[in-house]
Amino acid sequence: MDPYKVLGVSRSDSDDDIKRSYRNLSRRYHPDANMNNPNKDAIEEKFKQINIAYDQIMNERKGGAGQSAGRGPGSSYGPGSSYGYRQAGFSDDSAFGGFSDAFRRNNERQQQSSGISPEMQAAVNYIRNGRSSEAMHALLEVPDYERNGTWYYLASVASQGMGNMANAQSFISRAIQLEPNNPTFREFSERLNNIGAGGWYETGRAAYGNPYGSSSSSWCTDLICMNLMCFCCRC
Amino acid sequence: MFGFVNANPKSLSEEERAVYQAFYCGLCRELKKRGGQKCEILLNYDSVFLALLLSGLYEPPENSFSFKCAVHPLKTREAYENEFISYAADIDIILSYESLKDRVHEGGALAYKKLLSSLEKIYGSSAGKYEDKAKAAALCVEKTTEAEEKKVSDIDVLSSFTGEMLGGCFVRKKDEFSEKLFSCGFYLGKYIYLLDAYYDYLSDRKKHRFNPLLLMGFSNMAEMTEFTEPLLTTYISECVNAFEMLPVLTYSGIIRNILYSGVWSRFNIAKKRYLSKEQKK
Repeated sequence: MDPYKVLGVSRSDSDDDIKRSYRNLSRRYHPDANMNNPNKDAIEEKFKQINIAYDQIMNERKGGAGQSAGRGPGSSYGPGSSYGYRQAGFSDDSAFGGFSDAFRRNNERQQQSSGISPEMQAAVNYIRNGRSSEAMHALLEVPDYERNGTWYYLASVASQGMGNMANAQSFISRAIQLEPNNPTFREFSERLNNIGAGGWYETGRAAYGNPYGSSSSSWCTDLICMNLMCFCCRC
Repeated sequence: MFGFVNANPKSLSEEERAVYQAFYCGLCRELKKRGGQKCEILLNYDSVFLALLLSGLYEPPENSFSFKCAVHPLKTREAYENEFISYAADIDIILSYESLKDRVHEGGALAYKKLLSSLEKIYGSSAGKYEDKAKAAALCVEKTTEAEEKKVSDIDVLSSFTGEMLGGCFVRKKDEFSEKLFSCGFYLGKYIYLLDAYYDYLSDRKKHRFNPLLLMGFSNMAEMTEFTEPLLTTYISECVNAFEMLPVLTYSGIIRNILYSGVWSRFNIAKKRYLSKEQKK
């Protein structure tokens, strides 16, 4: 089903229009607001569809704007629910910059020479399902001497999925060091860096201006003085 | 909490400034309700942000009222009141209590000890309301301390404790927004942890305190800054990503101001200080 139709918006509408439409619809179809409705089940189904459509559109737009394929952290919050909202990325291979294609290419090359270890294959599957920390666990089973460029690449992808950006950065550098000509590794490295320097965030940061604390007016002078006192005697 | 999640008043409109101020005063009043004057000093920008974000997302019925503040007896101020401002006040107390306790544990000043014991009761009542958040906050301090004692230098690991704690605090109730709110708080927490390490770099070095950046053996401040700034950017941009997934319309201008600009104000102060010191040498 076309997610734009579900929300009653068009592709040219702004993000805020979509958010507004989503808010209106989800308020109307929210299960809490329809406890006594005879069509409770149908309404709940509709509510689910609205949420799926909204996530789909926002994810698409994020990818399109050259933003990161950022996923939530791999930590689990609450019983049984794997937190880490799945976004354009692992669940959909094409959205992940041809992750599977690139991997397949790699894979073939690998199989010709040494064959891919079952741990690495497991890691790929976990990554595809958005389960980054399990992927990392599987990868760590691979002994040091078997860790090749692909291993470091996968470790980098899994790290990013867990929100471990510093590790993601060093893993991908190592992968590129081992296989300088691998386009997939380079692409992923660029993607990681695009989140940072030179990316959309930096543009926004520049537009809002770079504040210095000293020049910002205070919201409550006396409280700040008190806080400052606390700060100064910090030892 | 650390008070790093500031707004940049320069790029706020006058109207937005008034709203921010009303949240600020509203939160201050909530704290005062819980424990009088001594609670007011716990007020920090991070909690104002939490109140803004949740109010923007859930759009609760809001009370606005004018009052005369004891700190400014002549001026009439505007303050908001809603369930999320009240929630942010409880979270503020829980997190401040834990960080104070940690500081006292590290051998902080006597003033801290006094403040801490005077807060016991107030903490108890906030923690009673939100037991899971209080447990998570205590666990975060515990895990961080343990890792620091083991001299763990992996910033991703160290920062994830603060991330998980803050992520948990961002989730007021379980619903269709929980995952995104958690993610937003998770990355903001990581950002805060790293910024704190950056901000305290020199004083930690002087006092031989643990700081993961010190373990990395940078040869100068410029090199240290070159490492930290991009990593901070990746953390905060993931936080913005999660925020943008949320259907927040109200207060979104102020929230973006904070996430794109305000969060850097402390960083900028430190960076300027570090780099100019180095040039003088």
